[in-house]
Amino acid sequence: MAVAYHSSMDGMAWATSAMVAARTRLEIATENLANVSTEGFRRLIARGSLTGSGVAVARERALAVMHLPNNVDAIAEMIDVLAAQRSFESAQKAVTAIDRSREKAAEAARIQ
Amino acid sequence: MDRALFAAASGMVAQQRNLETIADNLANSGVVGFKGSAQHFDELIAAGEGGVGTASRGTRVFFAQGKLARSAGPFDLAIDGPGFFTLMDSRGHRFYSRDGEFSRAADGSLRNAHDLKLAGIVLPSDALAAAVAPDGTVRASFTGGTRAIGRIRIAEFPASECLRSIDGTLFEATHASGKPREVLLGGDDAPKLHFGMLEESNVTVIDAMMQILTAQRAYEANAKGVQAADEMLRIANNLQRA
Repeated sequence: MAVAYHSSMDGMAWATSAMVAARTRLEIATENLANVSTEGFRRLIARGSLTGSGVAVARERALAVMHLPNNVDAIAEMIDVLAAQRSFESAQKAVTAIDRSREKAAEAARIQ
Repeated sequence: MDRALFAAASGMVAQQRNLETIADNLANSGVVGFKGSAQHFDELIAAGEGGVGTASRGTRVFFAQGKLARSAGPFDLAIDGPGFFTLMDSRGHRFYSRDGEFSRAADGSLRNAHDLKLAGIVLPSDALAAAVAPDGTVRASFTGGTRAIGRIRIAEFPASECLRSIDGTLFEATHASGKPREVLLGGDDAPKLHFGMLEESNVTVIDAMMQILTAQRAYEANAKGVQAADEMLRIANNLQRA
């Protein structure tokens, strides 16, 4: 989905929204993992989308699989946990980098 | 509390409970008439927040038939099909069991290992031996011949899965299980009593071992979820210092 540039968009907001999105993905994966033995549980799906100020993750219920007690695949959820963790770290690095560049800009402004 | 951390932690607690139940099944896999059970979980829902993990709703007993095996006891009985032996304590309180390992007491009653009396049968003091037919009829032999002295009655429930388990072999009726009703024994499709046999536990050691491995891996996966949530919190806490 294409999103038109808006002046309110800045790197910090994007990176922060990515951190929140990664956190939500982790919540969804841990919720699914916690219910790996719950009969009749329908796994949650993380549905990502672009918003005006970054990214957002919504929770959706997957369809039930008729012949299974629940449709949680522990391996897939573990991969989601790791992926969410790494996304969070990457977004955090982006926040740090943007913060440093702003710091440098502020320093340069003070020198002048 | 942090949602991801709580969900993963609740998953760890659930798998710990699961493991305890499976270990109990495994420990009792050699107990006559023992019925295995399994933990029953439900998604934990927080008002306005949706799912936040899982919670145990207790155990559910499986009444699948155990294997019948020849035994050496003089009053050993096994039920082939649904139903329970009706047992009574000294106050007349009724219990139900599939464990048919009985021995003759001084008062002529047949009692199990818990000293509970099998309802409906008292062996006369001059009886030399007794035998039970598939329809539950008990015949005792005396010096002058043999004669029927009573009939063992088997009880069944509208919802036997709702019986309250006391120790995996002994059960009590509950409101949800319904009232016991007598089972007709010995017909073509009806349950039968086997004299000189015992019903083994319905827990299979290999199945229980597989369940332990599954629960252990699920526990580890949830522990990784806790670690990941904790690591994210650490990074978020250190953002200002970076």
